[in-house]
Amino acid sequence: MNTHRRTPPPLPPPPDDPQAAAADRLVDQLLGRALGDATSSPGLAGRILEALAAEMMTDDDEADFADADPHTPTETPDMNRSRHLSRTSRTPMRDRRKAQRNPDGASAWWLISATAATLAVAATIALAVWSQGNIDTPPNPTPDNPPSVHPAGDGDGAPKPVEPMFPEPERTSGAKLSWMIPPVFSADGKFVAVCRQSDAMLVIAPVSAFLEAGDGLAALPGAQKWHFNDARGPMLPGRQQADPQPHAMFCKAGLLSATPEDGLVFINTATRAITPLLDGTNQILSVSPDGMKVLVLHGSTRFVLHLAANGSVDKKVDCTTLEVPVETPVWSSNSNELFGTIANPPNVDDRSGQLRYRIFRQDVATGKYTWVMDGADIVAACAGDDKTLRIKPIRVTAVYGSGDTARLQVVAQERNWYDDPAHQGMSGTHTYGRAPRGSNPGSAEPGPPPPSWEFLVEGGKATLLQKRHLARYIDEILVLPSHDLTRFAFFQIAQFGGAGNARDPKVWVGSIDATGKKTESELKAEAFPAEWHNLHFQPIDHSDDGKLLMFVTGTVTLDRPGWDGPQGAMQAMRAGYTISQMWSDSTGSHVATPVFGLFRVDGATGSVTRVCGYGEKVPELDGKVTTVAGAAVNGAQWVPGSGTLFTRVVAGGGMFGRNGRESLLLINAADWRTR
Amino acid sequence: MPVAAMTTARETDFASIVHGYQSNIWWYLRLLGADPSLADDLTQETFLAAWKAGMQRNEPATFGTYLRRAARSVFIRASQQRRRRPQAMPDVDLDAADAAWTALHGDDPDAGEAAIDQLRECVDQLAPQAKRAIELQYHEGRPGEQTADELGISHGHLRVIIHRARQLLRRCMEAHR
Repeated sequence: MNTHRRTPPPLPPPPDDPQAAAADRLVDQLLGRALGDATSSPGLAGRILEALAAEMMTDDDEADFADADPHTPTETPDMNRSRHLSRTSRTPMRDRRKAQRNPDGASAWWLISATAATLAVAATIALAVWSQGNIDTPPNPTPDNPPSVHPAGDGDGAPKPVEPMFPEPERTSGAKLSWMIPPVFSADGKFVAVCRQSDAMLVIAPVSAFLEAGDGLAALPGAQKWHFNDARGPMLPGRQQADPQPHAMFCKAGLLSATPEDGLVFINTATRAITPLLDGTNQILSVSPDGMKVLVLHGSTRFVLHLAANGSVDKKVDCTTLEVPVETPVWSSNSNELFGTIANPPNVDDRSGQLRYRIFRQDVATGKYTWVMDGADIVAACAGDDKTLRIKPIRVTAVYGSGDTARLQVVAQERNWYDDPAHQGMSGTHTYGRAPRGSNPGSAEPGPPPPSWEFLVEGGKATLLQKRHLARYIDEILVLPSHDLTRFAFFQIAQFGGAGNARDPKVWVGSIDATGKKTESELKAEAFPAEWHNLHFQPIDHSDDGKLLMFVTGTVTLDRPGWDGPQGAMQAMRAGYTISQMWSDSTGSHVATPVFGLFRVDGATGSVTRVCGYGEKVPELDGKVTTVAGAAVNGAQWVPGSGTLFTRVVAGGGMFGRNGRESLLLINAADWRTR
Repeated sequence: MPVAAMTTARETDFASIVHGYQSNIWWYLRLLGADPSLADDLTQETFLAAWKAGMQRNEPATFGTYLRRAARSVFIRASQQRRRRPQAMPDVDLDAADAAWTALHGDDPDAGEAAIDQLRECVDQLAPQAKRAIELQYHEGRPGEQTADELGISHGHLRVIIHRARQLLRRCMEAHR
């Protein structure tokens, strides 16, 4: 053994060049791969494909809840409606039980979840097998080689030609882009700003470019793009991390020349768009009605930027309050004040669990704030002498006027039992002090939300407009203010049937005056298409005369005799359909696909009018429903300046689909009041 | 029109994309400092994000770069979350790692195999002692002390040899690309 050892030369210092250091690490990695046994994670591709299949199925799964069996400790006319409807809506649950006893029965809803799970597994297996090519696999479909629904053929070995189960869907207008965050539109509806998280890109482009765009970002004429370092995660606490906001907003200032010191970055003079620092340390909360003031959040600090006509920042006012603000404050009509709620004020004895919230008014020129109303007064207005009521933070939802004479719409909601710090980690629908409504023994249907109260606050006095106490979570009550908060449009819906197949909606519309007096009427039974089930309503616009523009979504059932379950579902998804439910029974196979439409609800005449919508060439649906290839819609935004509704359409398909992409859908409904 | 007629050349089967690129992305994330378990998770997140964003509709030539950038974003987000925990990830210059990856590895599905083949050729060009040190260290997985004993040198000397050999290999690979 050679024991002679030379004195080694000194170890060279670590390279100063970071790239050289990184390259050395990469060489080290490659040496391990080339000479050693270093390998990437075995089976990783399969796990990724499983995750993708599960992700694809997630959007389509919808729980099939049973119907409600509410009981009401305190009765109001509104509550009686829901109660009556719920008690007479048990058919689906009975059908399910019958189907379980008799699998050949007329209804087999229980098959839905099993079929969905089977489909997920089948999709994963099919993907893995196809991609690895370990067995004789059919070639990828081409125009000359269409896929067969029944590859086994008719017995003579030749594949049996099968007509496609679903026709080719109609294309919608709009860019086929995938945006992680809802787009923001300028007030005139001419420009749109979108922030895409997947590659940290902010894009501002003319709306027309989006509507004409083809595939991908490259086909956006006139678009400007910026990459940013998304650092919002560590900066924003709590829910704001998981609920990111758009990075850009539009304002009315002219040529913007804000600097990074102001917390803003100049973006685009033509579109008048602004954005917080692209490193994500600031977040724009709102722009004032006059478009010349911007409320910005930096960590836990809030400040208001006063913009000059030339776009520069005139003044930066610290508007941080000593206590914790609740929600984003609302601007006064003249843009000089903010109205909001503060929670947990210091020195409040909360041993009773009776958290108090105070409404404040803040002068954005000085940052000084004064109290408008004590939350205890609101609680008293909600519950009277009931000392057991505990409420969530009060929210200011609308403001008209300014100063002492301002009118505020305020919402207070009872707390859930599990909102209490002592019950953290628990769940349920139980509320303090009163029995819950909508308890559903043996049912998976979630209970309704806790009751809430809509108030008009004026001159330090709160007037109760409407108590919102639902029997079932599929019911809804809306109170929408006129521009000056003197009248409020009222909308209430209750539906029959199980929560997974709600049907036959009952709808009441009307108005409430500033004293809380309500006038209402019930809509005709055929107000909404009878074949639409599981209706959900999103108010889009409303006018002072009590007319509402509603964005309504639901599902429609298609009968598919001979449909072979998972494989048929895969073909449907390949064709661009979104499937919300699927099941089989003795009459054949069925699939439920989402639909949507715009409806005008007239509180004065008690009528409902279909405003506009998109159709597609599906024979069963032609003229009856509005859908884009059975697409699911994901939110809707209304741009008053352009009278246009934008929504994102999520066509089905995912990795299987040729149309599994999101489109921006434009519906021009500027004349919805008269159409 | 049959369903199959809607097939277009640019809409590649995403499963084949996963199989083609998952190894590259996993090793790239390891270069950024992710441990094997985290690299597994982040690779999965990367492909999920790419699929949601509709990457398969892009030109196939851009897949590799797109996925690497997506992986970088996913890694940054994960590191930001971990910085608030005790097990923070090592600080790595991401731009430098990106540049090194582009220079020595590349984003093609077969780039890893090509780089490894090239590296083997470069190893053959090393001086005998350095080549033997590399083989003992990486191929046979000997601990440093054993390798030093076998070569008849001190452990410190071995480190210098290995370090310089890596530099030579890097230059060799850069020269061949």
